[in-house]
Amino acid sequence: MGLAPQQHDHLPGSKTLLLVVLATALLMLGGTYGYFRYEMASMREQHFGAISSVAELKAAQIHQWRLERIGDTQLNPKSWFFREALVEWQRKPDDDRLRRAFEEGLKLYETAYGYEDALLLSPDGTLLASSHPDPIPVQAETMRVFEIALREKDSRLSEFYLMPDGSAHIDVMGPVLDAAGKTLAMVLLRSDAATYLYPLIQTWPVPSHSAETFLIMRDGGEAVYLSELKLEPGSALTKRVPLSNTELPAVRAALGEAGRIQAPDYRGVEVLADWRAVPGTTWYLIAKVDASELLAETRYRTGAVGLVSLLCVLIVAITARLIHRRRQSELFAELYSSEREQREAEAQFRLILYSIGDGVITADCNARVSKLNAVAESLTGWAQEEALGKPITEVFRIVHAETRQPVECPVHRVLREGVVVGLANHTALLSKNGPEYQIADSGAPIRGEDGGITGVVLVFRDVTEEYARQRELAQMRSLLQNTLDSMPSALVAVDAQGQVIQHNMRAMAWASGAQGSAIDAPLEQAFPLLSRQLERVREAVATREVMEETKIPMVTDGETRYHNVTVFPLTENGVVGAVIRVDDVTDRVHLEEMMVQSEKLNSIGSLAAGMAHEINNPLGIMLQSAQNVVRRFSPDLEANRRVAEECGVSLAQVRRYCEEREIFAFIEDIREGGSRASAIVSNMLQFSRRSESRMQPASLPELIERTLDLASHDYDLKKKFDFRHVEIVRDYEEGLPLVPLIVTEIEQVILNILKNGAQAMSEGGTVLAADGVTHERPRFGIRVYAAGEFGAIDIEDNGPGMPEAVRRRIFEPFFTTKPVGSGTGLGLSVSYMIVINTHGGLLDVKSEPGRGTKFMVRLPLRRAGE
Amino acid sequence: MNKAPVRVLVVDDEERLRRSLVSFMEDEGFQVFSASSGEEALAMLPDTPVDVGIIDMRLTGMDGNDFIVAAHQAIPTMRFLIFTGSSDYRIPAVLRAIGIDQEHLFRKPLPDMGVLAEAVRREYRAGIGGCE
Repeated sequence: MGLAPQQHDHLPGSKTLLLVVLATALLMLGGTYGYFRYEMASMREQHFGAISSVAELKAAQIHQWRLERIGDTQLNPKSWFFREALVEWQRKPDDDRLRRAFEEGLKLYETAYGYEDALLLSPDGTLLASSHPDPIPVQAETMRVFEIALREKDSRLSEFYLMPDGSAHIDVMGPVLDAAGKTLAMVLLRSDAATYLYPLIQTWPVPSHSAETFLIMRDGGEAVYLSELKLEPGSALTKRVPLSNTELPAVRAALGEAGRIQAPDYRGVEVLADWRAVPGTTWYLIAKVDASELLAETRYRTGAVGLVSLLCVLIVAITARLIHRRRQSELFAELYSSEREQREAEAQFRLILYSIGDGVITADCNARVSKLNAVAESLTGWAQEEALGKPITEVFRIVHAETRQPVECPVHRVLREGVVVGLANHTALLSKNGPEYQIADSGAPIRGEDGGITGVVLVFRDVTEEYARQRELAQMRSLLQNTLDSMPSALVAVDAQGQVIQHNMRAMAWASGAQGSAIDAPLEQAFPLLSRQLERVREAVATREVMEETKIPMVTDGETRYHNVTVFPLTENGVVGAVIRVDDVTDRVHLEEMMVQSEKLNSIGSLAAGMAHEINNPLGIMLQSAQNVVRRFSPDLEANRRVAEECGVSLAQVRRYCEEREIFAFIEDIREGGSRASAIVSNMLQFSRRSESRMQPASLPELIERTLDLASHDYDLKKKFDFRHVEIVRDYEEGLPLVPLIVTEIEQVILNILKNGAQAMSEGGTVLAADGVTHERPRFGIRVYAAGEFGAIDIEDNGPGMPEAVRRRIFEPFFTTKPVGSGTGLGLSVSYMIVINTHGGLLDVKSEPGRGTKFMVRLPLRRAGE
Repeated sequence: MNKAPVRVLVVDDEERLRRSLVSFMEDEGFQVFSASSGEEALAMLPDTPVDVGIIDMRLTGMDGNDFIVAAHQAIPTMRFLIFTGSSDYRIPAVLRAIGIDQEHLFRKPLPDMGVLAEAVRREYRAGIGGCE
C-alpha cells in the first residue's frame, strides 16, 4: 500500500549531478579560502605598513622629544648670563640673592618647559639649587648618566627610573661650562613620564581599542617594558620578560632586530607588531595592534564572501536538487501519475466507503479491533479508543434476529477461510448501549504484499428500517397474494404479449403444470385452457373495455363444468395487459337449472291445480261408471239376476258373453286408464306450491329403512326387480339430528330414486351379461350424514349410469327413458319439487356412463324462519 | 238390517257422476235421494229427512260448505261426507266445528266407490249412536 521508495541512486545522471554540486562547492570553498588567504596577507601587509608608519612616526617623535629635552638643557646654561651668574655665585656661595635668582631661573625652566623639577647640581652631584625646595634626591640610575654627561661635557638623557612613589620618571641633564670648557655645574630637568612622554608614546593616530605602542629595552637576560602599557597599567619598568621567550614581540625587539611579526603578545593575544630601535638610544619602540581587530573586517569580509559562497553552493545544490527532482519527476512522470491515480482512487474509495454511512471496523489477524469509523462507533456503542485491541466479538456482538442464537462473526470466517464473506441475513447487532440494529454485514480479508492475511475489514450497515420496509412490503405482497388467493375466482394477469405476470392459487387448477412456475410463461403454455382468451385480452387492451363470456362449458375429468370468463384490461400506471378472471359457475348454472326446473314444475302445478277439478270430475264419471258396469254384471247382486230373467236371459249367459267378447277386459282398461290419468293429475298437483306445513322431525335412517321395506313390497317394482337380490350398503352417520320433513313426501322421493336406480340396474345388468362380463350384483350405496346445515342422503347405484344429455333432463316432467306406459314420467320431477320447493333443500344427480348414478338429497336441518 | 234402509242424500251438479254414484249406492241397498244443488237439497230436507249426505263442494249456487252448515242446522242428526274434485280443498273451521274432519273427506276420482259406501254405513251407525 505504501509508496515506492524514492530511488535517487538509481537515477541515471544523478551521480554526475552530485559530482557537479560537490565540485562547485569545493571550488567555491577553495575560492573563498584563497580569497581569504590573499585578503589576509594583503590586509596584514597593509596593516603592517600602517603599524610601521606609526612606529616610525613614534620613534621619530621620541627622538625629536629627546632632542628637545637635550636642547632644553643647553639653552640657558650655554648663555653667558647664566655662566657668569654661576661663576659669581661660586665666588659668593652665601649670596642668597643669587641663590634665589637661580631658584627662580630653575622655576622658570620648570614651568616654561613643563618639567616636574629643575635642579642645579654641582659636578660632584651636590644640589645647588632647585625649582622646589627639598627636591627628591637624584636617583642612582641618573647618577650613572650624570657621570657620563660630566665626562663628555654634553647633555644626556637618563634611563627611565622609578621614583620612590613608583612613578616613572626620566631626567635630562646638561653641563654648564665656563669659558674654558670646565664644568661649572649640571642642570638636571626631571620629567614625569606619565605627563608627556607616555601619552606621546601611547597615542595612536587612528581610533583603535587594541593599538598600542610602547618602549622596551634589554636589561641583561630580560626585556624590560619602559613605558606604561595601555592595557596593563602600572607595568612601566616593572614588567619584565625573559629573552628566552622569543615568541614575544617585545623579546624580539629587545634582541635588537628590527622587524615585524604576527604573534601572541604579553597577554597571549595574537597581534600584529612592528618594532624598531629609537635612534640614539637603547630603546626599541614596539607598535602593535590585535590581529583580531585588524583582521576583523577581513574576517567579516571573508565571512561575507564565505557566506555568499555558501549561498552559491546552496543555490547550486538546490538548483541541482531541483534539476534532479525535475528530471526525476520527468522520468517518473508516469509512475507518479499512476500513483496519484491510485491514491486518488484509494482516497475516493475511502471517501465513498465512509460517506455511504456504513460502519467499518478493521481487525488484525488475531481478530482484535484496530479501527472503527464513526458509524461503527455509533452502531456498536464503542468508542475507537476503548474498542482498540478488544476481541472483535466483544465489540461486534451479533445474534440471529429471530432465533436469538449467536451468529459466527464474519471476521473469524474471513480469517479461517480467507474469502470475502457476504451478507448474512437476519443478523442483529447488539449495541453496547442497549439498542439493537438489524444489520447487513460483510467481511473481506486485508492482504499484505506477500498475499498473507494481515487483517479483516468488516463493513456493515443498519438495515433495521430497510428490513422493516421489506417486511412491510412482504406483508403487503403476502396480503395481496392472500387476498388474490382467497378470491373465489381464478385470476391470471397477463401482459400485452400474453405472458403471465401474476396469478392466484385458484388459477393453478387451470395450469398445465408443464412448467415449474407459470409466471413469465406464455399464457397458452401455462394455462392452455385459457389460450383462447388471448384474443379477448388483445381486444380488451385495445378497447379498454371489459370483455365477458359466460357459462362456457368445459369438460374436465368427464364432468362438464361451466365458467364465466371476464377479461379486465390493465392500462393504469404503465402496465399494459389484462386480468383474466375465471369463475366456476357450475353450481350456479345448476341452481339456475334447478330454478328453471322448479319454475317449470310450479307452473305445471298451478295449471294442474286450476284444472284438476275439471279433469277429476270426468275421471270420476269414467271410473265410477266402469265400476258400476262391472258391478251390474256381478251375480252377487240380487237385482242383476232379477233383471236378467225379466229380460229373458240368465245372468250367467250375459256374463259369459261379456267374457267371450272381452267386455270386462275393456272395462278394466277404462278403469286402468282413468286411474293413471288420475295419478298424473294428483302428481301434477304436487308441483304447485303449498304453504301447508305438515312437517315433523324425523330420523332419516328410520325413514329410509321404512322406504326400503315399502319398496320390497311394491307391486310394480316387484314385477321387474326383486329387492331381495339387491345389496344394500348402508352408511348411516351416528348421532344425526332429526330433520324436519313431511314423511310421506320424502318417502315418496326416496322411493322414486330407488325405483329409478332399480330400473337402471336391471337394464345395466342385462348389458353387462350380454357383454360376457361377470354379472355384477346390483348394489345400492346409501349414505346418510350431516353436511353443514343439511341432512344429506346420497343414494348411489352401480347401474349403467347415464349420459350428460339425459342427466340434465332427468328432473324434467314427462321426461323418461322408460318404455311408454311404464311410468308417469313425473316421479323424479315430483321428487325434485318435494325436495326443492316443499322442503327448501337440494336435489342433484351425478352420473357418467358406465359409472353408475348418484342422487344427492339435502334437507335443511332447520326450517327457514325458525 | 231389516229395519228402514239408510237414507242417503247425494248432492252433485255433475249429472253423470251423480247418477253413477246414486246407482252404486242403490245397489248397496241404501235409500238414495239426490239433488243437483244445495238449494234444491235444502228444499227437500224438511220432507225427506236423510241420515247421511254425500256432498260435492263446488256447486252452482250455494257451495257445499254452506249447504252442510245449513243442513246441519235443519237436521242436526244428519251426517256428512265430502266428495270433491278440487285438489286444493281444505276443510274449513266451521265444518270442523261440527265434527267433520279428514276421514269425511273423499276426493274424486274414486277408483272404488266401495270406500264411500263403507263410510256411509260407518256414519249411519255413528249417527244412530249419537242420537240415541
